[in-house]
Amino acid sequence: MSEYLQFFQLNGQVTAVVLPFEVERVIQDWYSLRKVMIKDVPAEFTRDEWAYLISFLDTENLYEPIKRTFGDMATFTSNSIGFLLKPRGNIALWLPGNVSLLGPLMMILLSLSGNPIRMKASSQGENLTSVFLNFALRNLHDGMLKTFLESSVILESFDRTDPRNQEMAATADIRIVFGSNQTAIAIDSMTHPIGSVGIYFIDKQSEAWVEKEALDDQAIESLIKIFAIYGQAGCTSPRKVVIIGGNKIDTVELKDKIVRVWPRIITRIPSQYIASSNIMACQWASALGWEAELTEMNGAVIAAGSNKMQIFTSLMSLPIVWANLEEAANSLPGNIQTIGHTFKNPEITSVLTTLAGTKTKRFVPVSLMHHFGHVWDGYAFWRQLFEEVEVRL
Amino acid sequence: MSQLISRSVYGERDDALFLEEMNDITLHHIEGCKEFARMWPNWQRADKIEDLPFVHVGVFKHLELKTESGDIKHKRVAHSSSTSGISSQIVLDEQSSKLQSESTTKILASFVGEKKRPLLILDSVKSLRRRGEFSARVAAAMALRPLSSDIQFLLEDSEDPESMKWDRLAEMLSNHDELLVYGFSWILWLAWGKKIFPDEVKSILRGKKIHFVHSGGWKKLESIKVSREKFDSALLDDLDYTSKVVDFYGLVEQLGIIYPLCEDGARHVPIWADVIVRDTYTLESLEGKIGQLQLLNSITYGAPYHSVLTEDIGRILPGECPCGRSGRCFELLGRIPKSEIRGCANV
Repeated sequence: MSEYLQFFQLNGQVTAVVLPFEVERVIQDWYSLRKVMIKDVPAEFTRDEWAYLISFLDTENLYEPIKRTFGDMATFTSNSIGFLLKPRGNIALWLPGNVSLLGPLMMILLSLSGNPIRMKASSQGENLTSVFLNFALRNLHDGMLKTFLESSVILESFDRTDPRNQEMAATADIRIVFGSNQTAIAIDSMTHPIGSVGIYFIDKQSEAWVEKEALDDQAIESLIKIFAIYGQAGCTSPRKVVIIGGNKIDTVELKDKIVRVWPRIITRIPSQYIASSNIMACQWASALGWEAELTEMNGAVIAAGSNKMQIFTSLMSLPIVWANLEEAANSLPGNIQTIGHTFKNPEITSVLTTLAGTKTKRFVPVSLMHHFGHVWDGYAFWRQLFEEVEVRL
Repeated sequence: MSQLISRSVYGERDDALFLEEMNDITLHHIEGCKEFARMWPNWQRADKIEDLPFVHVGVFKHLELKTESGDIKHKRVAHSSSTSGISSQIVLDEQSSKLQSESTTKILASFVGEKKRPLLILDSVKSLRRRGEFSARVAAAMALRPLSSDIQFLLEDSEDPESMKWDRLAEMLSNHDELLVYGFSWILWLAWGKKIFPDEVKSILRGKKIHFVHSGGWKKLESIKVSREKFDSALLDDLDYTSKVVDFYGLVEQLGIIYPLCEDGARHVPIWADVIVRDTYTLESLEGKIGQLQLLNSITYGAPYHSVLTEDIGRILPGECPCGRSGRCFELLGRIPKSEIRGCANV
């Protein structure tokens, strides 16, 4: 493949980047796919998932990793070059089962790096990455992106006992794993090249911190929408809501509001299994002392209680508690990933200082909790796809 | 205390008395079990059976519920078998155990007769000896005890169908022409239905009258393509024509109440029990339609498993059953199917 030298500027310094394509043309090619995507939704995707993919292919979103890593596009001036960045080498990516959009999103982000990509999708469940890749190959015009996808992207599906796992680990300059702690440990222990990079995204959970004064109708709708996509099964999904500076009455009020608004926002009928398990969870929560209530059609359990109460778990249950900032921070789980916030007038310094003392990786508005990006779980992983060569001229 | 338990098991229903007994027993649990009271904080005596409160069967996997009252003496804990790895825990008490034993005896007698004969259990005697707890499997086997003259455990290892004590079986067959055999459905098939018997046993078995009683479900058997017809036919092969196979449905969360499949494919409800079919989404009771089964009984005092919403689906069958047993009957159609979860977390 040809190599293209491109220049970018960040904080007064010029970085030279060598890629197998002109990155601007690849971004435009991805963007051009949206026109077809708007008209044609593969059956394997839900409308919400497809809509999110379309929004992800917005040029501003795709330029973000470029801008944050390289800077803005610039013209070459020999005096100011500090670094030459080049793709590090082969990427091996292990995807988990049942995280619908992760494969397509990672494929898009990784493709911008110019590294050859070998992806392993789960042997169980639907393989949306394959569906999206085939869609892209069918509908992209001939150009740099299509050439790259055809020549440098391999997607396979096999289980964890397959020897191709070891083969991937042994030949990758970058190993990226999404999965359980056990999966990460297993892959990390496979023979891999010295100097290769391992990036592991493991079991994480998230919660929402809100202020009562900020909970207008829009905020409550946003909270419901974000929670209802994955319930407790999403690592970026709120497993509980903490009303910062609130009290018991506030938790009950919020519970009542969510239950009342839920049927207007969530119109799909849950599976019978989920509805039945919600009946169970509501009783379990009540037995433990929570003020628990089922939403319409038994689609979810919303429960108000205190942070000190025994917790209950089911896929679509959402506990609401109250705490001050310090208490909320102290009760965060060790594998906290995202705190979704809805604040009215937060004391930013207080919040940031508190966060710094925790293991939180993302502090974003509730509406952006599921938004995936090039910095994840505290890793600026996209930058790690490049080798940095110091240059002094 | 239930008056209905003293009557004929499938005799004429007295729904007014059943409702009264259920209201009394519900009040007993509301007053004695704080968790149950929290689940139903606005409880009032029900005007109809459909208004009686329930506990979802899944709650027993997470909480050990117990009803405290002056005359209740709790004893052991019964555990369900589980594919999920988490078992239900049902706290037993002396008073209910007596009634439950009487209930299962009456129910089973209706299907296998009252004549006492030796009971052969396809399990290990070690299963009985675990202190403080026992499995639903053992409870089911012991339900036949009042109908037996002698009890023999035929497996050395309860999980190994090949650990059959052939000499013991041969001895029992040699000395008796009529026997009862109980086993978990899957174990009964592997240990007996496949007919891998020593020649000596095969010859003694011929012409015997055996009533097989089993429970445990068909999932594993269906996965190896063993249908009910194949199962029954294999067990009854070469036996006296009056032998029979009785498959019963029961839960550890409804100890004492079992639902054998009658000769005409229905499951009959004892007069001290009842079945409601509910819409999972609205919890309304359904007449004549398929829905989620709620099982009730008026003989459970030690913990609030007198009324449970199961994860099984079925429907009430209309009219009188040709088998001659009167009262309500239903069709069991299977489990609520599990749904795939999309997400990345370990839930």
